[in-house]
Amino acid sequence: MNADQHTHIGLCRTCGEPVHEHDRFCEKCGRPDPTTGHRFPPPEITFPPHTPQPPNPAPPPPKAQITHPTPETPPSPVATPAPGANTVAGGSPLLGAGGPSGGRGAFGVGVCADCGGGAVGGDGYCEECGFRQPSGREHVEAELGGFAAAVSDLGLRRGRNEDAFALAALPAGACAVVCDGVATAPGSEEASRLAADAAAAVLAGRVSLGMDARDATREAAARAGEVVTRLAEDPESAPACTFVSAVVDGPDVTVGWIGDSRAYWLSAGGPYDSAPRLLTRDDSWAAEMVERGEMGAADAWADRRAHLLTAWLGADAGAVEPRLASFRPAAPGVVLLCSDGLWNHLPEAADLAAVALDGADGPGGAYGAGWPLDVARRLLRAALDAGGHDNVTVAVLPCPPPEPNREPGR
Amino acid sequence: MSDFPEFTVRVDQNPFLPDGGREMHAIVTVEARSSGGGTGAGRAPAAEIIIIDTSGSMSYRGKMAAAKRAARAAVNVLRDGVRFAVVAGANQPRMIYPQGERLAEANDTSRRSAAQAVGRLEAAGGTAIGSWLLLADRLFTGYEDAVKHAILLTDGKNQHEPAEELDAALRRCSGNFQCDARGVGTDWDVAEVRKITSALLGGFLDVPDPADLEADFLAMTQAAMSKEVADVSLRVWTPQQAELRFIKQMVPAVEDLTGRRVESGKQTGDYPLGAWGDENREYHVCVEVQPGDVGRQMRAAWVKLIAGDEVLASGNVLAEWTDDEARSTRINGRVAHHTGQSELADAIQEGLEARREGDEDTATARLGRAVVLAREVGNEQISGLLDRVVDVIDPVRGTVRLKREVSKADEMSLDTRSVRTVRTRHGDEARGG
Repeated sequence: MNADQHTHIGLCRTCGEPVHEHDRFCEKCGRPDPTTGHRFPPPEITFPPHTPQPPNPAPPPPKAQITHPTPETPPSPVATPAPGANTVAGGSPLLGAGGPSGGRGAFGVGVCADCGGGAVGGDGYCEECGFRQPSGREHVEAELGGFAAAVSDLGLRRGRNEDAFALAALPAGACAVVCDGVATAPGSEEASRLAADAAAAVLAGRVSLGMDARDATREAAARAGEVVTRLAEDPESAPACTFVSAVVDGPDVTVGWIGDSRAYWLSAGGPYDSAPRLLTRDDSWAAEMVERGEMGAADAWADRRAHLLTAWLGADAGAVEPRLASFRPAAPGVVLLCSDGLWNHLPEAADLAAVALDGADGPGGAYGAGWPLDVARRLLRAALDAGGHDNVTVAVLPCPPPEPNREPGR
Repeated sequence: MSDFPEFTVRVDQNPFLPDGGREMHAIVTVEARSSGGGTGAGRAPAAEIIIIDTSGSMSYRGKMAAAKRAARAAVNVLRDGVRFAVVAGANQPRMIYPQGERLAEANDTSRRSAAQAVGRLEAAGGTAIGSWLLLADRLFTGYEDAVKHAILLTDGKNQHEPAEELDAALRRCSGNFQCDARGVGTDWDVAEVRKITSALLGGFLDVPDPADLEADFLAMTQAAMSKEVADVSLRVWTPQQAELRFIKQMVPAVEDLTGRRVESGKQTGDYPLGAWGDENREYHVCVEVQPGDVGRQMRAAWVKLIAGDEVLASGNVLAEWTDDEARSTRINGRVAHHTGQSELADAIQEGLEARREGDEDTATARLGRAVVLAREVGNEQISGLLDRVVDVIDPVRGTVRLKREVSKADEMSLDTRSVRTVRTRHGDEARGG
């Protein structure tokens, strides 16, 4: 029953499963009060404040404009891009009927591809023949030369893709953002798209101007949070999404996250911090339980509350700070950002690395510009082959990035 | 009229169709919650006409005395400001209160005067219900924005005017006011009263014991007084090349609305539902659509509750084609329940009709089927009434024997209540009402 409809009182705000009137917990993910704005576990469990940090002053609204390159002018990283330029907003260049939407809906005003005559409403259904039109987000791919690539896919069981990604070039690398809309309520797919676009624009703009990647990540997350918060028409139906970003700036990697979308380091192996590993710690019930030593990992993940989010972007989330991690890998590899549609099936970094690096060429070698996209596609395929019941989004950034002056494959 | 109750529409369905599947069923539940804090004090202006059969037969078995008590009870709960009248019905209708063809405004004085006038009702003459309804229609003229409601009490068949005159009267009155009816005694015709109330968007019940009339009239009038919005319609959009196979009210009673469609635009039709108060009703919608490829989704129907130009609530009936049989073969529980209740009503009415015509085989088969269905849908009242008409040998397989001696009242009660449904349940909690 993944069709969004009014057959139920609402949809679970965590997993999108339809919720019946008297359900106190989501049948699927176990979230309590599944349709209301509380994403926290039941009241008997209290969590410490999320990653206490000194409050940052609100960032000034970025002047960067998100530009959507047309297919005739494929995006290419330049040595010193203007702030925010060359942002490839996931999906927009490939949007279906209606093209990139500038309004609130994911569907532009278009003509129905089925009957040819009907206008397509904001919810995607043709006003004449009734068929739902593709949103353009069923399967989206984008790449930035050899610097980054991403794919996002509906998966096998969902009616719509609420994941989104955005890629942007940096003077000496690239950045990427993946957001996973946590609600199937109207607005959540819009939330993830706007959040990813806004965050990537802020990241690219700040880093290009010389700002430290960690500070830029904080500003990007704050900006994304503002954008999502503004979508809320009322707190009870506030759209929400997760956030994970990566900045690969020369030899350095910085990731930031809010929620349970993840970043991994994938490599062929090497010394400790070059080996494949998870870079993020989920803001989820299970992860918190394990971190606080209250439960073993196996028990925590077996609990039906395991996937409850403890932090997210949205009007009902309050002010949230991203958690951050930075490192300089000692050997070549790739930074992977992904939504839980991938890591639910392949949680182990070593397994992901085996899929990702399963090619003749590889990072650090003379790989072609299309290699990152191949990696992203392989990871998506692995998720779909494993069941792929959720939306799957994967972004891949090789590190170290290709030398700007000898752009690979071009 | 500006403060409508808060309406919600919920759609229950299994949206999944198999490859090539066309027929989509859904239960649309419309619920209105009064914004007035549940006091039952409706805000819409109201007009109420009480029509009492005063044909000669009303003088038997204390029916007239009971009808007077019932009419007085109804008058006494009219709230101040309501326009009302009391009409006596015989070969011709006659104004009992006020005098002259008009409506009076309810207040302490008029309620007292009306109660006194009711005391002067006398049983004499015949039954010509069409003419009574036409008088009511004339009285209601000029109160277009009010909740217009009539209560009709009869104890006999419509013998003193041609059937065509009743039909013509129903055509004239339909859509102008609503009418609930009560049949007292056992000489009235269930099918006839069903036809009248169906045309006038009302309900009817049998009242075998005249002593029960008073409480019944009180409840009916209070329900009418609690209506807050006069004319509500269900607007149904369907895709091009789709066909709305049927739309039936299922709760509180089975009523096929399919034939009442009024075209209201491209691909939309309106189905009048009458006045609403603090209540909920359920509708079974069946749409036949053009199949889509596996994986495609369609809006198979878009239902909107409207009052005037205002959309009060809306819901979607969706369709999604799948090759996953586990999904496409699942039947939504509420659709199954209402399908059973609808078939139950048909089985009872057909079984009783066959029984009246002496076709015992059909009667036995249909009433046996009714026994099975009544158990399945959990309609205990119907099960109990069936027990008075047939001897149940095997309630699971529906093996029954027609009783030789069946009281007229029991047969009429079963016929009357065949359309009364029990509400569907969500989870384990029964819904009230």
